[in-house]
Amino acid sequence: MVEALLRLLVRRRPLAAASLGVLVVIALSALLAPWLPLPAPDRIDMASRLAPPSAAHPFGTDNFGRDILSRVVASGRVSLAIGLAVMALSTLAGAAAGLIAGYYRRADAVLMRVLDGLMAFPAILLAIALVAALGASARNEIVAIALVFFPRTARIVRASTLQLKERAFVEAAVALGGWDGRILGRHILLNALPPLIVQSTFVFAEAILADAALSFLGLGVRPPTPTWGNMLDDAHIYVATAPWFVVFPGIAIVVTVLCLNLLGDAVRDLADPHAAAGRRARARRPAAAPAGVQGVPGAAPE
Amino acid sequence: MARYVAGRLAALVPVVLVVGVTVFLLIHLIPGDPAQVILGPDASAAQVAQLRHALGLDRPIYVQLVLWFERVLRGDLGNSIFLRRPVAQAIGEHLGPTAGLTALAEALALAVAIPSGVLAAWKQHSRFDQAFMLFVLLGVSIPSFWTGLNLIAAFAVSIRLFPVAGYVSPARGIGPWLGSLALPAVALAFTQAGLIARMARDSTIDVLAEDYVRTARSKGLDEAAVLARHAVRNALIPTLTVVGTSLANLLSGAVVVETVFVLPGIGNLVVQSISRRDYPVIEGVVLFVALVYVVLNLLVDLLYAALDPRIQYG
Repeated sequence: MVEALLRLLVRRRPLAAASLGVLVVIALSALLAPWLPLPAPDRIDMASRLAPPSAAHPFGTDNFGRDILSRVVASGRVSLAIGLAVMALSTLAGAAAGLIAGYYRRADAVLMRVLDGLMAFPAILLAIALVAALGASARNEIVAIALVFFPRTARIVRASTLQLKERAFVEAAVALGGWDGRILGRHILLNALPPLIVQSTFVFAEAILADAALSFLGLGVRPPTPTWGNMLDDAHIYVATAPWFVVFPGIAIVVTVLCLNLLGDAVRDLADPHAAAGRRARARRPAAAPAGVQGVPGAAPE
Repeated sequence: MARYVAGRLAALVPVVLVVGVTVFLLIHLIPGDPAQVILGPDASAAQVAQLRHALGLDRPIYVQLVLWFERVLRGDLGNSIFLRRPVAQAIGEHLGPTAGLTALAEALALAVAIPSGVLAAWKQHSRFDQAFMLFVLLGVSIPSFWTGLNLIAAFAVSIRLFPVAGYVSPARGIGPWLGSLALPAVALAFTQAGLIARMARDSTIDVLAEDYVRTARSKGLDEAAVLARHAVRNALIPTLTVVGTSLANLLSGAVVVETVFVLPGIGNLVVQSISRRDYPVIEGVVLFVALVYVVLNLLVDLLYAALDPRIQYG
């Protein structure tokens, strides 16, 4: 199954397959950072501070003479972990809220108004305000960013739920007397997974950007623990004298986020052939279902 | 149409209520006694009690909520603790740079995004289209503050074309004013241009598949006329919907970019207020920006309905 999916990705979306490869490399290097043959990320060497890239320091050194490559890799551990945690939290909360709103009419009205209200805030600004109130820490940052992003996930799951609950196999399960939890979990959630997975990829990408912005403003994880965002915060006053200090942490963010977005786009198109076949099809068929639910591989209805 | 407007306005009420309650709750999220946190550990008990009373925190929370809404509806956003003046006044003083920056970035984004989006749609699946889609993704993958830092390195340090940072008021000349906003506006516009261009491309592709475009082509109209007269005009209507969202994104992105370029806008005001623990200002700015977003989206919806007669005013 996984192998077939990978083969499909390589054949139909080589760029996305390459992105997946890059992401695996980034994730592995972050995971294995302590065992990689790199200088310790916190080893201070004032004699070689702000040294340009060289054989000894491929990305140069920072204002304390620390190796920037080591620090970018070490930051990956923190930044990716925060992104993953935000993704997990907002996917769980979004799926729960979306299923409830889509399935129970009474809950829908109230829940959706609350989510609409939360979505009226520009994402970063609300996250900033939340962290400002809760206090800067990794945990508070994760909660704040997840709170900002979960309403969009909830909307997507709700839309899938609204469609799926009208389908014959769900009606059959209801008629057979299945209890709500089983119907929601087994029949609806499983079939709503593809758009949910795609959305989670985008949330992961956006969470990394949001973490970078918050850390840059001093509202994320604080030094000495490095993150891509707080490295840029340290770096930005050296933009004229040591541009490599600014360039490399930023490239790490851009490459990670770009690969996630490329992968998310490809998976969305592969999971929804209508969208991939071009939006022409949709324009010709005004009654066509919105993207994401039908014709999805896996999770076959009973 | 009047019914449609009324309906849209009525739909806003719950959204505004949720926005209001969320902002109201912000100060209550502060762990411990907000008044103590704001004043710091050195404040005397009397000072803390005084601030608690001034912020209304000594009353039951539902009374606070009602009083808060009453105050906000009068246009009173409270008083800044640090600046010792009304929050609304502080926002007003900092609005100029942010408004200029946002408007300039939006104009830049639209100027680049619409022609390139239409061209990508017209040449769908071509090399240009593929490169275009990659650029769009790149745009949403780059933190605008990092773009800003790179622009400073390139166009303010290496080539001394623009100032490294700082803001020049338009009263001191349009040229210097534009110069001080150019780099931050480009940094902000990059992301938004991607989003708008993708929308422009997708809606142009939709329109190009319409029967009236086929009719226009088959009656022998040249491609330029088909694009200009039939395709683009109709494709711009859906594109309009993202402009409202993108303006709000710009306002939010401005918070970080203003910090990089040391522009005295409302973003800078928020960031400074965080280190001063000046929560009324943070609340005020967040509420203000959220309301601007709500109003912009309402205007876009109404404009959309006015421009596209096919929309049902149900």
